[in-house]
Amino acid sequence: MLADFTLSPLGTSGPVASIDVGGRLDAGAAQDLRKRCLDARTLGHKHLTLDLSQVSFVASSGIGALLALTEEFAKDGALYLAPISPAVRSVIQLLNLEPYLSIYESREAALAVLR
Amino acid sequence: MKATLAMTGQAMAVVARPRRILGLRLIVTVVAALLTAAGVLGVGVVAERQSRATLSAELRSRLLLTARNLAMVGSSALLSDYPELTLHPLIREMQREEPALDLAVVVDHEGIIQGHSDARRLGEAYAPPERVAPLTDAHALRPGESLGEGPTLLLAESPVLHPGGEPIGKAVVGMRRSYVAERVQAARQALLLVMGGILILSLAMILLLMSRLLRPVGALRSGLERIGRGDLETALPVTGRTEFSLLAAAVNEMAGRLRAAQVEMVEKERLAHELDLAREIQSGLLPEGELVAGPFLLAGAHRAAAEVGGDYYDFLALPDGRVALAIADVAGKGLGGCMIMSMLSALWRSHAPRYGSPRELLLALDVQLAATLKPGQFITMFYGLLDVETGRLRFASAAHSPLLHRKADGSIEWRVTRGIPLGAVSTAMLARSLQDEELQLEPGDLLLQYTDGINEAFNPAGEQFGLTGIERCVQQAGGRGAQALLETLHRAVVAWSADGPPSDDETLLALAYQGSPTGGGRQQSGAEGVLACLARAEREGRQLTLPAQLESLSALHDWVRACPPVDALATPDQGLVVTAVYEAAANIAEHACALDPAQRFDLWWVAPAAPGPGGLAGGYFLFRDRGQGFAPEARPASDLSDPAQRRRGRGLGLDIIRGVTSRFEYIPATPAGNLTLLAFSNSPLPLAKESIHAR
Repeated sequence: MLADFTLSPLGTSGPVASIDVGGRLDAGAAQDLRKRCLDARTLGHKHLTLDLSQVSFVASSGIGALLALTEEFAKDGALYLAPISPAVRSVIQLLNLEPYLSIYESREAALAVLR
Repeated sequence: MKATLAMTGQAMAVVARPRRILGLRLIVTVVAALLTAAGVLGVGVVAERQSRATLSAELRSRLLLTARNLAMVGSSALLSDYPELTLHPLIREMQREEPALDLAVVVDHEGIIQGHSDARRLGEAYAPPERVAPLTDAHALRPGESLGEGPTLLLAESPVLHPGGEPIGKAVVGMRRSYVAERVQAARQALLLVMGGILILSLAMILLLMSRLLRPVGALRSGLERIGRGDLETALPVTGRTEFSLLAAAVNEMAGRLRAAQVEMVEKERLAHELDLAREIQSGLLPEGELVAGPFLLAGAHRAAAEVGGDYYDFLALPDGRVALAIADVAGKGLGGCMIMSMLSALWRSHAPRYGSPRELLLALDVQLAATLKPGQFITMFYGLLDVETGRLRFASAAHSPLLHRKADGSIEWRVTRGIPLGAVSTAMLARSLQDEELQLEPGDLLLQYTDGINEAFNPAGEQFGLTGIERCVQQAGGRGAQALLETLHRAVVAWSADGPPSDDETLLALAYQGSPTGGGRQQSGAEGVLACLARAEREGRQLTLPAQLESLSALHDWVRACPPVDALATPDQGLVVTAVYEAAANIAEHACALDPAQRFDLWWVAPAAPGPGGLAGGYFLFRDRGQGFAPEARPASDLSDPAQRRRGRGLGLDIIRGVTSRFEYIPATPAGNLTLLAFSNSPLPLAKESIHAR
């Protein structure tokens, strides 16, 4: 794991659980992210928002983790990416992935949709 | 026909299961008969009891009255001197008239018989019959009267009264009990006869009614069985005015509708079969695979709409070395469009070698098709003739979509042409609207033609994919060759229309002038080209050496960002370049070097020879490793419209590299080691530009 990758503990203060992600989201970091999100799901949080605004770099494994987690949560809930950093946005656009991810300008916007 | 057989099969399956059927008529008749019989019998039993009671009561009152009469007559007789002279003939007469009277006696107060039918008994003492039990039922007995029943006789006694009121004797009459029984028996027989008559009559009525009223059930049943066997032609007889006639009419109507549906189904099946055939013919007319002519590569793609359409594309290497290419859209879908398309294909293939001018060829096609096309039917068509030696394309367009020209530096130009569709107006008018145009192609250039199924694809929100959608895909994948562009466009249109089936044929035709202008002029591809790149990199490139460990790849970030002119790019552009280099490095470390920290790999950055507005154009990254070779190019691009692939979430690295670079080559096992080239020709980077746009 890289030193400059940060993953906040599961935030459960609001109506929907949240995790803040920051730094470089590469192969090792993607595994940690995947595990943290799946743990949250196991704890019963069917809806989860990921704050990716502080992600400075995302590798294909990171994008792959976001796709796989979105599919996993979609079974009976949803995973919201709210908001995302320009670095994440440019890779998502490069791969034409907008249709397969739930991207929002802010956490509030995602929660508004959920309501 | 097939449908009838299928239905018959089902009916047979039902019949094959044996089941005992209870006739409705039988059930109703038996129940009605039983109920009637029970009713009649009940009434008979009650009536018989009633009549027996009434009869015996009447016989008793009659006996009592007879005793009273005798007592009354006996009163005056006993007061006379010779009562027997009056009483004897009277009693004899009485008994003669009423043979059931077995006993009739008048006795005086001393118990001496004074009146009897038998004169010899006169003067004897009267001995009353033995074992006579008194009857105490509600007969209004006067004082001194009694009614009794012996083993054989029914007895009534009435006192003979003096006119002063005191009794002076008694009159006794007795009736044979067997007589009572005979009368009751006779009454019962009459009753039984009547009851039996009623029962037989009602049963006959029931049978008659049931068989008349319920007869349609049998007809309905056999009719429904016939329909079940698939015979929809025979109608059920509609007779009578009961609900059964309504039911029969409804069944007839149902059979009629089934017949219509069956006909419709057969017709639909036939049509679907014909459409399948048409679709097969249509796809058979489209060229298979790619056409490579010198440095040029032609490729097309076609996705048929649910309904068969009239899209067409074709390319052909002509005997004189030129290459002819065409794309057309016949207005109107269905079999008509498909047939015109196949005719167009045949005409085009036979005419193409004979015309040096695309305009002339289109006019010739118009003349040929004029007789066939009906008013309102027309064809938009683009036709080009490519001189492979000079890279010069002559083309004409009969109102087909604008031609997209992507130049080697990534810039995009649209060539909008004048022109009227074939078949829309007279050939003379068409001749005035058409003109030949020319386009000089350079290495790295790419041309794209398409039908309106692409730019007019709608997303669920009702927005068209549009020329901007096409442009976006070309910016993204245009640098990676014709096939990659076609795949990207296909995926983008599928994603745009939310994976729904296309409402119109989607047809693409791409022409690529292969080769890259990197380093000025056309660059060799393949191992020799990449080895030349290595030589240049070792001479003038910036170098970085890293151990084959994922952890050490973090050093790439700052190194790549510092490479001029990457350092001058906008931040999102820098990010994409870093990502592409990172993905290549990660693949090499993981797959070629198996993450062995003892192995190291080299990375060079060779800046563009002439930095300018072209950005990274002409620059390249080059990796060298000495691990085992692997085959990244063998892996096809991901199809992320497949949820299973998204769930796996792997293998996107190559998509990123291909999306960011214009050239990605991996040459294993060269004398210098395994070489990986990531070269740039388009700038600014396509999607980063868009991200700036979005903000």
